[in-house]
Formats: sequence, structure tokens, C-alpha cells
Amino acid sequence: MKEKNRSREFIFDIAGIKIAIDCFGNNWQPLFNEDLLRFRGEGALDLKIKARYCELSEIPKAEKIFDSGGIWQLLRNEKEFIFLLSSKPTGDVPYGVCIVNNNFSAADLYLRPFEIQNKINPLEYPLDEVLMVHLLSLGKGVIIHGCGLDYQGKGILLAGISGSGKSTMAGLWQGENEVAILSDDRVIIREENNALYMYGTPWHGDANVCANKKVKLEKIYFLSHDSSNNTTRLSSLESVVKLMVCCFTTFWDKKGMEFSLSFLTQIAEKTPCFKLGFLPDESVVKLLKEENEVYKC
Amino acid sequence: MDKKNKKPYSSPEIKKIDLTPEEAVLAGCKSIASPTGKTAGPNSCANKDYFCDATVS
Repeated sequence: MKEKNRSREFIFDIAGIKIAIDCFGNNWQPLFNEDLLRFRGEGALDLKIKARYCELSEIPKAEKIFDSGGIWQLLRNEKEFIFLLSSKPTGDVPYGVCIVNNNFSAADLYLRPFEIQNKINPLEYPLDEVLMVHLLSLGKGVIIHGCGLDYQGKGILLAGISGSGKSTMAGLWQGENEVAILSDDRVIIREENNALYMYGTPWHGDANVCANKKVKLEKIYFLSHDSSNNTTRLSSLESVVKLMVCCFTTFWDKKGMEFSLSFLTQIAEKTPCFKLGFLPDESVVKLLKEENEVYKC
Repeated sequence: MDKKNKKPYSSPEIKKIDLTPEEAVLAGCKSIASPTGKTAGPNSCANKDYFCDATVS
């Protein structure tokens, strides 16, 4: 098909992973949310996506290798990964098809026109996170379900699944001095110069907080509602198990899984990890401050 | 490796991990509405008065 329509390119840099999205065609308006727009970037790309607002005439032949059981599936052939995006409102036919090349550097995204809507976020969930999970699994890092804090320059990760209290904790820390919240739901951990860094992402939870920042990872607490505030040091093995529960990895790709497990082990061995039983009030902030305060002379 | 600093042997063990599948594989919709409000994307719970039972956050 001849590309006679204009294109608009946006580059996003999330945890140093750069994704460009080139939006072709005059029949739609790309519309990114404010959180993602804080992550505009530039430079060498990890993945370049060409997005079009038109139905793909035929999905390439491929074998289904993963079904999330929900809103996306992955097909695979010798040349491509093919992500099919679907939802109940848009019916059985995928509303989006994203075809990514073998080395995960280039993709074509076809978004099926949906009723009268023409303002579209082409990097809407789950595509944004699924692509990032795969990119990170190529030896680059991991997404963790957690609330990330930069407290006096120390990276503190409060990890836990839904309902464990991440957004509650973010709410308690909001307004405190010398703290920045990197996200109340998703952070990325990567290694740089033999040290681990925690990065904010645009993907936040109910507390609606996120920041384009990074900080050296110093401690991990696994959240657990309790009748008192208490911390218990965990062994590396216990920590890896808990990290595995809170991480997002490529269940559809053996190599990616192997890297994720190896990287989580590295995180658990290098970072002090604790179970944090907590009461959802200011007393837990006081406890964490006492444990992590940087005393200044 | 220095024998004194060598870690004591511990036999391999299998750990069972309980995952929350719809979270682990990003299969549920997000509770966060799309930026477009009324024209929220297909997976937003804000879409078309549609509320799903698999909200994750």
C-alpha cells in the first residue's frame, strides 16, 4: 500500500528503553495520556512501530503460542511475533494486530476503526506493557508490580500483587519531604555498571502517581496487611520466590523466562529484602523512615 | 574458592509459586481510564458503560 498520508513520530523513553511510534494516516489522531507524555525521549531506538488506523486484510499465518486468557494472544511464525488485541466491547475480531520482527526491533501496528472514535492511544494497555515485558526480557531488565520510592536518594521498592497496599502506601508517602514516588504500581529494575537501578514508569495504580526518574535500588519490602507494623528479613531464596510472584515475564518465551529468573536471583542476592507487615496509617511511614533515614552531619 | 568461605551445601528444592494469572500475564483490563475519557480505548472500564470482572491495578 502506498503511504501517501502524513506520519507523526513520537519517541518514548521508559527506563532507557526507547520506543518510537510512527503514526500514519489522516483518518485518526494519536492521543497519548499525560503520564506517557512525561516519558518523551530521543536517541537510538530499541523498537520502532509503524501504526495505522485501518483493518489488516489478513493476519499472517502463524501458530498460536500463548493465550493470556483475556485481552491478548501471541502467534508466532518463522519471521514474526503477532500480538492480537481483543476486548469484549469490540467483539471477537481483534481491535489491534501488532506484528513484530524476529529481533524485536521493528513492528507494524494495525488498529481496527472502532465506531466513530478516531482519537486513539496506539500504545494503550496491554500492548505497551506486553511489548516492554518482551523487550526487557532480552537481557535488559524486569517490570515489577510495586510502588517505587526515592527517599533521600535511596531506592525503596514496596512490592506486592493487587490489593497488597501499594497505592495505600503511595498515598501515605505523598506530601512527605525528601521523597519522590516513581510509580504506585509498576517499576522497572535494570542493571547498570554492576549496580541495580529502579525506574519510574507511566503505568500507575489507583494513587495516580508516577515519575520519569531513576534511583539506585537499596531495599525491597514485600507488602502484607497486618495488625502491627513489623519487618522480617528474608533469605535470597524467599526473596526470589516473592519477586517471581510480583514480576512480569515472558511466559511465552523460554529464553526470556530464563533471563528473568536469573535477573530476579541477582536482584535478591544484591538487595536486602524484607517482609513488611503494616497498618495503613502514618505509623508505617515513620517505621520505614527510621529504617532508611540518611543521617546528615 | 576459599574452602572457609564456601557456602554450606543445601540440596535443591522445588518451590511452588502461586501466581495470580490475570495479573501475571496482563490479561485483565486496567481500572485506569484511557486519556480520551468518553472515547476511552477498548480495554478501559470507562468504555461504553462496560465494566469487566477482571480489573487489575
